[in-house]
Amino acid sequence: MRFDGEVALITGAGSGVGLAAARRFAAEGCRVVATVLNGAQLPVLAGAPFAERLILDVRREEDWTRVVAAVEAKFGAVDILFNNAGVTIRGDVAATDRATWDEALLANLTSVYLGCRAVLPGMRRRRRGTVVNNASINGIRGNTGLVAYSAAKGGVVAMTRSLALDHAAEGIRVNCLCPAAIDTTMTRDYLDTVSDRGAVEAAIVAKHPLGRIATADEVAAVAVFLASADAGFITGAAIPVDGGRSAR
Amino acid sequence: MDSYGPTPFLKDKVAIVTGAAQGNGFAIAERLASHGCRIAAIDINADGIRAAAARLGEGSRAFVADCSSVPAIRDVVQEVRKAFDRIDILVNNAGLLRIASFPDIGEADFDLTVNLNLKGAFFFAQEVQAALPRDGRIINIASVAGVDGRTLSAPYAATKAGLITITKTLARALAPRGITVNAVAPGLIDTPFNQILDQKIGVEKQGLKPGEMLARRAAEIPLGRIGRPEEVGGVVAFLASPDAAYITGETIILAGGWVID
Repeated sequence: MRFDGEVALITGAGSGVGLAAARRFAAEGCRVVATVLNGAQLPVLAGAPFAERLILDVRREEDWTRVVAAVEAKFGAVDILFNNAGVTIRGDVAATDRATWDEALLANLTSVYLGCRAVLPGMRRRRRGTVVNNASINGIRGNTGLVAYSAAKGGVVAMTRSLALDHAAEGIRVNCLCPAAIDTTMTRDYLDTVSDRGAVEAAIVAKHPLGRIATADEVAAVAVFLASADAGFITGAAIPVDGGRSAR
Repeated sequence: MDSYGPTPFLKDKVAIVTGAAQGNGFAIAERLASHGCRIAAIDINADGIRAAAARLGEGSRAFVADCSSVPAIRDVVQEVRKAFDRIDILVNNAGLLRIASFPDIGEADFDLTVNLNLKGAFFFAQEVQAALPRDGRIINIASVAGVDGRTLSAPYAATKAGLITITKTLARALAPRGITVNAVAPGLIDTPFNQILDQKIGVEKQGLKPGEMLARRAAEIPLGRIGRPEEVGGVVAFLASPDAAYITGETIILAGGWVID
């Protein structure tokens, strides 16, 4: 096990990569604080070996303040923050009205800023801590029909580097991962909306040299590695988890 | 013993590690061995590699070879295939840096650097690939010098940049077989290699005290320290693990934040 009681706060832990990461962090010795957007997702977390299950709307500063205060009061620290929650919002620029743009940036970029702002004071005091942000391949490579989402994820990658430099001397590491297509409910829900599902699926798979999309466990495993001591000399990195798609 | 969990995830597998007598190569071999892997430890330094293999324990073996020579590479891979029943992982770690400023680099030094760092790694991959299983791994030890040219040796930087490009090409070539190919780009690591640089450049050329050049460079690193060989081993172990099965063609930089500004 790579951890020994570290407190790991994970957002969007109700499904997909977040849930997989929460389970893996817990299996490797972390005290996991699993957070979900709303109460309807709490039953998913029941029975899993998590230290705490909380509701956290990552778009709301007051939620972050409440959750981080509660975790620090109960466990003494947030050692690891996995900013995982996000939502794919599709559309080219014409299809992205102002409200859609604002929501995409709020849910995918401002949320990460708010999370870092909430946990960093404690990490700086203790001179210890690490943040892993779940960005996206769309933050480092172009894709069609994802204008606002790509802008937000590109922002997460750039902010990760900036945060890494600001807090390296304090012993705090900040990294992000850049997954491509992942087999999650988010992906399956999207595939349910397209008319020629088989062709769309084949086109997605064809973009990835390994010939398949990722599992949620594989993406979660990279987040766990980045948070571990094995990545102790890695900071400011954006690690693609994309089956070779961005290798150029 | 296995830091990931109760089951050693490389149990019974075999890894070739080149340049394994000391420094990063030995740390990589030691870490892979801790996950249950048997090591084919290769180096040109015969005494060094025998001592290293002995420390790696039962199941690991030393092979003496000049990793800059294609015939020697072919021979040693054959020896490894005879000695072990399988090859699962290749770690191309052997490398050299000839200390000379740009106007003084001779053709022989240029060729030697290319032959070991680039040509040797390529032909090791070519020799080994047919033997690799579906979850096989090739891991190339590049350098931040190959990412941003930050080094005293232009040929060294060029070979490491070439290794990063070869990584991408081989990743695509081997992806249909499920084999991943990745690179690791260490920054300043506390290895005998860097201790020699400290002596030859810091002490002999710049008149600094021993360790002072490394300390000055450490101060430029955002994390405020140089890295440990064990940390290179940790990244290689991750890339060799099932956890990294969906990562291919990538270069993982471990440099304490050195090349992100």
